[in-house]
Amino acid sequence: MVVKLDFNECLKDSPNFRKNLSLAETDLENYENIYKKIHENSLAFYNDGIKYLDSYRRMIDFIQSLGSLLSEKEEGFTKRKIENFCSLLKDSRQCEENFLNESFKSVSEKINKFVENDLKQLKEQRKQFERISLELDNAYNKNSEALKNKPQICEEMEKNLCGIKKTYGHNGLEYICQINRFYLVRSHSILNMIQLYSQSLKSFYQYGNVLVHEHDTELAEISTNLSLMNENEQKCMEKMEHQHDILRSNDYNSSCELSSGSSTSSTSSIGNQSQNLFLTGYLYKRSHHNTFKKWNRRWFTLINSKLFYQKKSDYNTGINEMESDLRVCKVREINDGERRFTFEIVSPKCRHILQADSQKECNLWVKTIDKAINNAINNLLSNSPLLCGNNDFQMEENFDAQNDFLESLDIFNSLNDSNNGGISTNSNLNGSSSKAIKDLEKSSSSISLRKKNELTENKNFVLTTVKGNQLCCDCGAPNPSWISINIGAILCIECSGKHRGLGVHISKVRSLNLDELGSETLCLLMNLGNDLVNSIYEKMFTREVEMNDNLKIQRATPKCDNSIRESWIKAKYASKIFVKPFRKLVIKISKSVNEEKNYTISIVDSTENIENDTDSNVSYINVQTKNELLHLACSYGDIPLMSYAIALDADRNSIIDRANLYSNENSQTNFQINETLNGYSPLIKAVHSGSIPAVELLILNGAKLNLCDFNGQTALHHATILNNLKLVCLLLKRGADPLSLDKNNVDPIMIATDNCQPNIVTILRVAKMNNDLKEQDLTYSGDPMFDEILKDLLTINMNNIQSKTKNSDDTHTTDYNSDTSRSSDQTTFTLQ
Amino acid sequence: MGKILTKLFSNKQMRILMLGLDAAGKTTILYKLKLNDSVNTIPTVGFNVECVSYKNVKFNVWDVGGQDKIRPLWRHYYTGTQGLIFVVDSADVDRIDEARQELHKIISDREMKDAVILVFANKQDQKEALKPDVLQDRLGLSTLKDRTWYIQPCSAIKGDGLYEGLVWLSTACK
Repeated sequence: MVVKLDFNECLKDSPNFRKNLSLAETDLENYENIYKKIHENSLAFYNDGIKYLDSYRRMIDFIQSLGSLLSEKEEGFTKRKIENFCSLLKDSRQCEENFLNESFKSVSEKINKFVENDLKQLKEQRKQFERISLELDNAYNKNSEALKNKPQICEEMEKNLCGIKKTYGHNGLEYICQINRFYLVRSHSILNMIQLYSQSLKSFYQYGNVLVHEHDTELAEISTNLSLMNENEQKCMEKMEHQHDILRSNDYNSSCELSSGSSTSSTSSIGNQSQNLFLTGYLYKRSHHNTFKKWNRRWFTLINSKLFYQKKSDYNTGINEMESDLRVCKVREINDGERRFTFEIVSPKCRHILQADSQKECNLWVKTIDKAINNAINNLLSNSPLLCGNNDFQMEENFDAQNDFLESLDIFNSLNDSNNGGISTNSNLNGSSSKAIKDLEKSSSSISLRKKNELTENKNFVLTTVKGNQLCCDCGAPNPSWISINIGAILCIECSGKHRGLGVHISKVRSLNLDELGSETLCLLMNLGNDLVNSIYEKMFTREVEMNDNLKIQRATPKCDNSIRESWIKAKYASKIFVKPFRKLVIKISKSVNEEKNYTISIVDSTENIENDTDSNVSYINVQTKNELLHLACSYGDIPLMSYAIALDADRNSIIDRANLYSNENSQTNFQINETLNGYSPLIKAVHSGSIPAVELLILNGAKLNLCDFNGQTALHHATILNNLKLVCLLLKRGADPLSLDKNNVDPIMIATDNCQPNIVTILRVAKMNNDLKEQDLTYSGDPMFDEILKDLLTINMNNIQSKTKNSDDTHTTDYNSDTSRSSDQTTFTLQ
Repeated sequence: MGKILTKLFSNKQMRILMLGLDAAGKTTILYKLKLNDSVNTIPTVGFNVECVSYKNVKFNVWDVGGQDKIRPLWRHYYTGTQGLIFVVDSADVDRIDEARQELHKIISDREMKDAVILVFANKQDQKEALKPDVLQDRLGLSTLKDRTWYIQPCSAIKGDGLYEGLVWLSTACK
């Protein structure tokens, strides 16, 4: 309400005025009360706001520290989002703080000012007004009481009254003025307050709006990611449920931790080639203490070729390596022990006895560790000697892969941090050092490295490209890695055992991985191969033969009985009952138009069409005996024909007493072979063919190195005369005598000197010196330099052979290609 | 007293290392001694170890694979070896020289200086086999000084000569 106080009424001091005044005063009091309430509550609001802001800030801080718990690598997105969200919250909090301050200012301070200042003044004015009003009343009373007879008093009273009246008038007016002004200003101030308040409210919401809009993109990102995560989560959950199924389907006896390990190991069990073997699980380990044979349960980790164990509780430290070098360890089951499921790992220094929880696990451990040992032997041997036999990690080409593998394991990660994790620090150290060594090797001995690469390349070529070498020659087992070098058959380990039982005069067995094969041997293997071997040694093993019950010989299969395998291999290579028996043959020799291959040799099946053949490039030779066949094959360096002659047990050291191998008389050619009685052995003839594999094949099959011809000359003499450095090297490597004299008392060194062949002279002299030294000192194992030089000179670049062999896929079993590695500058046969 | 003595004797143990080129017949010898049976062996990748008891002596025989590239591992087995059995394929004439080199490499090692040397001239059943006296020269045994050695012709498949070798080992090693 608004009370209007009139000045005139005030001066009159009428009851109406008084009534209005009291009305106004109560109104003011009410007003004041409400104002005070508002003030009080706004103060409380402000204080609570401050409290709220404090908690708000603390909450933001904690959210932020939540982000720091997440991993940068995997939860980077969430981490970033938390940071952004926190900055949004901070902004919004700041905004709320501003609003709180402003609103408090606009409301509370204003009210406070009114209550504190304006109202106080008004109240004082009121008191004064009431006092003066009382005085005026008194003055009126005294004036009225003044008696007529006392004119002096009357005058005084009148004066007094007049004065008070004046004061009252002023005061009353002032009072009313103030009240009226209050009424005038009241609405204004309220509105002002509202305006200020709503302005700050507006700006608060506007700012908030901007903030939220800025966050819109973030929100969208989060929602898309969330849906993605949902999917992933679902998948994960499904997988996890599936894992439960695995557990359920497993028999409950086998521990689950092994099953997770075995699933990884099963992927690695594809073959020897795979590097990553991995198996973990608990085993009981018998302590080495002699008095207390205590069994402790330990967590074992087999990783590639390393076996570690640790206590369950010591996950930070306490990781031990079982044996530093698995290559000198053996694993096998213990059958005569007291406990069940036990197996042992034996090394030269120690015998570890371990126990698995079940037979299944025991078998798995034994199998996997055995594979790891085999891998260690097969793979780590190719290391440089510096790393070989080192007690720490042995790194090689797959070092990086291995390291990644290690890093993927938490154990090893945590080990990297801990100071006493000896293994991992070793691995780091060794890793860097092995890298350094690798670099060094690369730069310093790139030549030997290249050579090594070439050898491995050739090895792979023998295994993968040569026909039939993908399966064992005798039983057909996959991935054979053993060879009979003189036969040229690639074998599985089981069959290689049987071959070794035949004796070296029949089969010389080597390992492709564990033996160091010369490049001449590899070159020979490239020219042979299982298909060719079987086309000779299984020629007569036809289906009818196989069905014949009387024969009692079964073909070996990968998992066949030992006796079957043995009798099969004996029949095939020792008795040679499936080799096509020798009968008189006609050999067709066609001069090739292609310059690279000089001749194509083949066995003519029927003699009918010979007479019609008038091609000047073709000639036919009658072969009467198997020795003649070998001689002819050697003359042309023809590996397949040589193999056949050898399989026929042709004498490797025979000398043909017939002067000529007759060419067909009907032939019109001048392609007649005119061989005088020179007494050449097959080896000398092979030397003349210039073919390294042919010479190698003969030597491996028992050709005598130092056999002389009629002039007293050995194969080495001939190789020197022919100026064939590689053949000289090969003969020397196999032990040919550089000092053997012919009938004119000339040794190979003299021939080479006379012919001005510095390379051959040098190598012959070094060989002579080497032999002298060996004779003097029996413990002397030969000059390693000499071996190296021989190896170097013998390294044959086989790239061109490989490409050729790939192209000549159309060869028939009887249509033998002449050897391709023959150097083209050699005259291989005397033509007239 | 007598009881103690017999106990002492029966407890005599010998650590024997059996080496030689690949396919010399080491594993066949080991299992012939252990099981008295010619088992069908396959090439040894790694090693075999068996305890063979003969005439109150326990022989711990370590038979290590002999391929080219795993020969450098032989030295890991040297420590504590009392007797070396070096097996030679007497019929593999081409590789006698190689065998000689390996043999001398082994016995010149510091850790093997006290080991007694038994050479098994194996595969005497084959007709190409060299006789022990020839092998002895070809292997350079005759020139060995300050070493206890013995060459024993044998045939692992038939079992001839193997126990004679063990008897020599147990007497040579005190």
